[in-house]
Amino acid sequence: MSARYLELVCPAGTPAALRAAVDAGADAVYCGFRDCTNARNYPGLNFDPDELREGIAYAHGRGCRVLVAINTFPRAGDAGPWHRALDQAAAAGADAVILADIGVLDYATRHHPGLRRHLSVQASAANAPSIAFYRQHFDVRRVVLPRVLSVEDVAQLVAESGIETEVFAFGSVGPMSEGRCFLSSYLTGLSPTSEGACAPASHVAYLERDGRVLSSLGEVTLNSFARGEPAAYPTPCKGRYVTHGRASYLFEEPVALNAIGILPELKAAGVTALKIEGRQRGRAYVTHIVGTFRRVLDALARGDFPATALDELRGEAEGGRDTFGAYRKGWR
Amino acid sequence: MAITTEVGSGAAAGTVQSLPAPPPPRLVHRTPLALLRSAATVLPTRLLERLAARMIGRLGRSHPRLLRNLERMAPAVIHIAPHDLPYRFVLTVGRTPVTLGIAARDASGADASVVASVATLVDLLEGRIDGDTLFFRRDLTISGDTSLIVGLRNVLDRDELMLADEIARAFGPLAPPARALARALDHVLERVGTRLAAMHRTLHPPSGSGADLEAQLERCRGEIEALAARLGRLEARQKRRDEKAA
Amino acid sequence: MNGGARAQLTLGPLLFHWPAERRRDFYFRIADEAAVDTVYLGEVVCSKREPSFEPFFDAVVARLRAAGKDIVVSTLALVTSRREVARIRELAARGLLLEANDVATLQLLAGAPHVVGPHINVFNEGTRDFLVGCGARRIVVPVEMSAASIRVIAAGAAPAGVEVQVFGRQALSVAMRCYHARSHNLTKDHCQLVCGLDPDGLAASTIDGRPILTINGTQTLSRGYCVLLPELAGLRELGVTHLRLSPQAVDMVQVLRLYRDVLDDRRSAAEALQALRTVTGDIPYVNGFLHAREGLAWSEPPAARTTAQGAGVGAALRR
Repeated sequence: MSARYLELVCPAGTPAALRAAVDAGADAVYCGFRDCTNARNYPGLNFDPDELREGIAYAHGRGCRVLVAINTFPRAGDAGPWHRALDQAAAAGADAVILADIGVLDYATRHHPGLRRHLSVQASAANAPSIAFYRQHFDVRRVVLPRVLSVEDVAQLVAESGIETEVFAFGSVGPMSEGRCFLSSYLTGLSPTSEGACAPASHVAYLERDGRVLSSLGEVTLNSFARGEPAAYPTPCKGRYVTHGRASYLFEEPVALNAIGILPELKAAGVTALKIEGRQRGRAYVTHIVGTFRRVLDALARGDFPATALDELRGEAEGGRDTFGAYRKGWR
Repeated sequence: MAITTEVGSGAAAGTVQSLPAPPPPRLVHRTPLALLRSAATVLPTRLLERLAARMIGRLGRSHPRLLRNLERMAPAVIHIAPHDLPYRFVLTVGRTPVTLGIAARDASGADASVVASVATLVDLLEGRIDGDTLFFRRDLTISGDTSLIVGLRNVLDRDELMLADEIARAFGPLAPPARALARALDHVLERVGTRLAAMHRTLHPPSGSGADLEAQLERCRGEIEALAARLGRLEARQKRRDEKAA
Repeated sequence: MNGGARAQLTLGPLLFHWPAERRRDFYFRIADEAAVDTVYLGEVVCSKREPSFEPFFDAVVARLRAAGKDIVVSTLALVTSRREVARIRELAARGLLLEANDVATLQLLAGAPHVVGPHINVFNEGTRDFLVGCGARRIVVPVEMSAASIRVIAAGAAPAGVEVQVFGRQALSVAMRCYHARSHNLTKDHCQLVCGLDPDGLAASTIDGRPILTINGTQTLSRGYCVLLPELAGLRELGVTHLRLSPQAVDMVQVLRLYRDVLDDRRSAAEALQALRTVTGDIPYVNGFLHAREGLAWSEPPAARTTAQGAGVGAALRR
């Protein structure tokens, strides 16, 4: 891909989604094992070692790379699953592993020095010295930047650190510094950082009362909405809270990040790769989003203005709203 | 945990989840609909039970991994309840063997249930409703342990499963006549449905061509009985063959 | 570990944005009256708050030092600008021990001794060992950590110490976005430092009226105070060396006294808990994380656990 504009890194929650992403034009897909070692540990998702091996064969056969996310933080005294995941990813021929925990990075550096290491967004490395730390000690080759930086911040960071960066281009908006948010465990007792599931479905409930739907997490009501009103899956940061006697989306509105309109800016900022969020979404979603981004990126690579593709993605938003998130300074 | 009553908010619900819309349904969509709806409306329960069991049995060959993943789920009884059918399907997962049975529309005893129209359920089972949108559909109700339904959805999404093919396969060598019959039935049922709606609208009894519909339905019933008999013979032959092999 | 050195009480960094004079007077009183061994100064939440306290910084350090308190300077939990990086460099140059709350600080310290703060994820012994190798003298465990995990971390930490927060609201997240500003329809870049209006943070309730969170600028904290008075002896048994009290807008001198008394067996935990209620008013208490439950939960201490020296304490924590 000599004409690559920006590398397209796509989610694969299942083997079927992996094939869908590859077929739709992903340059790389990322996935995880079926346990707590990755940050999308939801029931029925993710890969066992055989599936990973087959997935990698499928992707490699079509010029697509596979990155394995091992990006949660091992519980004290129980690093076994994380070390095993690293060993299995290496054995399966993964092109890189995406890591967050310093202990796991240390293990990978010592036991699999030849396996390319990316720094997960869960490590929350949002400045040049942090990146330098991970690079110096663990030879990290790429950093997935936290979703809290503006385009200007990104450009400065890329210039200063001189490392490959990957930024989020589409999917859910995480307003908190990731990997360091304990809101979900505060409400459920299950830790996203070590168990890999923010707002686990087992603790989500919906209740209809007086013609409105109430969503809750654990024992805590997070939202109330009318039928037809936009509402997000009840993660704590997407709930409505009352401050100054007024209920509002205090942390983040129910919106989706969509950076498709600022791809030239991200390219100019020196970004290497775009990440599509959504391993918990289905293969139909993957096909659609990846396909759209592929067309837009190919058009941009040819120097075209991809107006039709932009309209297409927006046109299908169906009342949903999108945002540039932190990329625009006013978001803060 | 998670006790739920009806959930929803229409297609416009959600942001993360409604952005973007799922691609349009494929044409093949109609076949499983037809099969499911016609089968479940008109087929005798015992035949339906046998078909369901055959379908699960066949999964072991056509999608061994899917079956294994269903076995690997937390042990649970999941009810899949099409509200436009007189039955609900009872899926037991998390043990070997995974079973699919039929129960009365108001059966209880599920760890989790999902209630929706046949069309919506087919969308769910074929992966057109994803994990994030699951809870925001006006036309879909989840009760009991929500994580079981999310898990089932994710497990089904792991393989490119086409219910149409699976149902057809359950008929074995009789798949082509079964498909043809399903199409005929669907045609009849659709006409009945349209007419019922019209009835409600006008509060007038239907006029005219009731007789030809009934005739068509009668023909279908005859074909179903023949099909059931042939299926029975096939199963008996298969059983003998299996015994001989063993 | 237990029965070794005397348990150290620490006063964590003040997380709220108090007027500079109030902040200064608070520390003067701590220096003069408080039963505390170590005081953390410094700004963790937002660099825009930092300049106001700067004129009083040296005087506060001098007063605390004269009172025999150890001093640590905490640094920002989320560092994103070059200005913030330069500030950490400058703090390091002052020769004071720093608490690193972002990996940036670890890099800037380049192996010099430091405290690893609660905002750097030390969830396991692999990370602990690596950071001790990088010069960590003490590790403050993340608020989410259960007793079982603390035990593993503390078991092999020596020579580094292990610190656990035992009083005050628990910091649950940090962000680039300022929710305090947002609640006033402002943005972070034009915030007018509205966080200063709420010295005890801004209460955020659920839509059905349950107060569960506290907004403090870009930081989100628990509504309830984490109170681990009945668990103090158990934490000591696990090998915890330092016990942190996070400053709230209540009489912290009195709170510190109660904790010190329980550690020194001058008061039973039950008695101290009852006395604490009169100091803290109607703020709910939480202790869920330590007991491996949802963080906002409060497990009422069984009678056996309310005596500081009860043999059941450690066992209860180790479950």
